[in-house]
Amino acid sequence: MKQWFSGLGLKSKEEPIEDSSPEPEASASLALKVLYDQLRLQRKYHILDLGPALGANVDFFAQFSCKVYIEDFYRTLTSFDYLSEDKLSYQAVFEYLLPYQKNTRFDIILGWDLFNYLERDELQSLILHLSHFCHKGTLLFALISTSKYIPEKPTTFQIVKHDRLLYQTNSTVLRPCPRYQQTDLNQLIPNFRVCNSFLLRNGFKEYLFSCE
Amino acid sequence: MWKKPEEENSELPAQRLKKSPIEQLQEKAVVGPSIKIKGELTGEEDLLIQGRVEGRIELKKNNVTVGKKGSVQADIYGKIISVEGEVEGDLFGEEKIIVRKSGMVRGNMTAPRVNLEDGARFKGAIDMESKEDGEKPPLEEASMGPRSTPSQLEPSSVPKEKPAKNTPPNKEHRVGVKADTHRA
Repeated sequence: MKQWFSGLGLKSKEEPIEDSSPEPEASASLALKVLYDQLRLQRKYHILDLGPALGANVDFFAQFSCKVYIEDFYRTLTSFDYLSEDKLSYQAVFEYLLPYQKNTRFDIILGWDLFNYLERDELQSLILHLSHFCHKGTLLFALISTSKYIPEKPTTFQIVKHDRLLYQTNSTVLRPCPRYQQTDLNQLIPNFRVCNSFLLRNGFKEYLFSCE
Repeated sequence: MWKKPEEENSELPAQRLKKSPIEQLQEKAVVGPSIKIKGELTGEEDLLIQGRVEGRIELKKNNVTVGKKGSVQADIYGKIISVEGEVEGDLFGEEKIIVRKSGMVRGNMTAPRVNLEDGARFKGAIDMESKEDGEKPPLEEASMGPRSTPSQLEPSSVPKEKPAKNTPPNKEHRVGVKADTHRA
């Protein structure tokens, strides 16, 4: 009977209703492709991932024998109670939350969409702190939202292919987006210059900055 | 000739696999949920930690599992290290490190292969370079800053870039700053 129903494109009452929502589709990422091409040139890279730990991303970078520093920075920053009693400078906070050896040098920094969630002062201080651990040519990858509103929390970006990212939204609540323009970014990220930018259809603009 | 397979061995597969509790204990040492250990753990058998261990765990030839109830504040050296509970410390896996979805690791991980399951929490550095690989000189060395060498990654001298705990830094750094208004 069930077969008959399904043969006609109908479902029997006993069958569970399938979730008709389509699987989330991976979006093209031209910036990731550029990074991938760069990664293939060298044997060992030091990568700073400011996003959360994702097995797929670790597996992706494992093929290059990288050393990957995973910070889950937004969660760390928001759970860090530096606003309560005594006020700290952003610089002091970032030095504390992102402590690296003086000789640490990152080749790639994955900022994902974090910058949309930082105020101008925060972003500037973060970049200033990180620039101590960069060398000439360090690549910084950021997804800047062009939308008026963004999810309350940063999106999780899972690398599914060398040029494709799966966006996993972590909140349905929206908040205003600072909508940083390239001129803003040039001011806020002074030690880096834009070497590639790609406007995507999904409301993001991908940026690849290079440390000067 | 026409014997059924069952007749050749009357034990059911499940029975054949089932081992007595003593046999199981002989295979794997267990730190029970109510046990707290401070100091250095060494040995030559697999270890399951369901209790609390502080110090150092060195079982390079054996597997170490931090169970769901386990809480470890120590550097762990093992063949295959599997984390289902909480670990604060550096992990050195001779073969592999697995962080299960219930696992939380704050520290650095060094192993030829690292497997992070979806949902696992991790903060720190992962070095997946196998011993055979060595560190090859980068093509753009001229533009590169100083790098850590393989010898620096040896357990005895791993740079202690411990992930920060969420406690306030030294008060000496404290100066006035405006409040963040965005984050809820």
